[in-house]
Amino acid sequence: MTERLSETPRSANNWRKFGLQAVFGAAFGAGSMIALMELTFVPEAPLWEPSHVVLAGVGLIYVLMGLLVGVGTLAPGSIGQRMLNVSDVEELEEGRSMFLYSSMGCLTLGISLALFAFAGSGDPRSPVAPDTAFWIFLAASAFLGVLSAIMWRGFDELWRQLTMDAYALTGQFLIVVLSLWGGATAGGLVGGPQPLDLLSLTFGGLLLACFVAVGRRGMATPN
Amino acid sequence: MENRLKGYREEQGWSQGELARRLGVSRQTINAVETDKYDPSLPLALRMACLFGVAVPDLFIDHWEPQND
Repeated sequence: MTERLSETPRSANNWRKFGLQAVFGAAFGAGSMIALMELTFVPEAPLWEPSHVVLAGVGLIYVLMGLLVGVGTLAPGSIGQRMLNVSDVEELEEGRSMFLYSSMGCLTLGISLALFAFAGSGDPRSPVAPDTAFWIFLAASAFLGVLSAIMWRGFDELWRQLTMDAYALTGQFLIVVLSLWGGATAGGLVGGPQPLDLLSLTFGGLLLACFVAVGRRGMATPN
Repeated sequence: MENRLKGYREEQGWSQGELARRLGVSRQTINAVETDKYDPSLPLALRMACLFGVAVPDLFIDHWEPQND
């Protein structure tokens, strides 16, 4: 029997919501990046190199995601349902603790990466020195480890599979990029990665991998 | 893999959330299975079949045919 009984209708409302989310995300992201460029542009002393700006950008994306998910979870009816990719308010309420953990994780990681970028740039406005930024990053990583363990225990099989998919994709991405970059550097063709580039690649790659993993399961578009 | 999960669920008058609660999984999992974006593990497939009182091949449709030598 070949009949297909599992087709889900895609309503115009859901696609309208998806369009609104895309426009809002693009505007919010563009505004934030412009603000970041303004913040990091110091005409008298061009301290910020591309590595610092890229890492600050990656950190900022995590911070924005954390804020959006956190606010959306705390205000599911007025904001969450409209701005997050969920079917309804109930979905947000059912997964409240997971969404809040995810929000805390994104905020913690984003802030620690942005601090690293700021401190590494040598910008006198940086709130911390590079070595302090490392200890903060280490503490943040330990916190993220605990948070991940708690979340993993609460995940069902789909979320565990998505997590494994995302980490596998991140690994593949890093193997390709780092081996090519390292090889080309050894061959004297390009300059080698800066230490901060490794952080940007790892966490930027993880971010991309999460979107790809979720998109492959059809969870990035309306039902 | 195609499946008839949505049909069986609607026959019972259950929402995706209700079925998810009965199976102990997230609503996203039910949605992903129903839209053929995720093939459940064997234990979950068995639980689904048990819940609806059908055999797994009645719920999940595989078009694979064994090749004759």
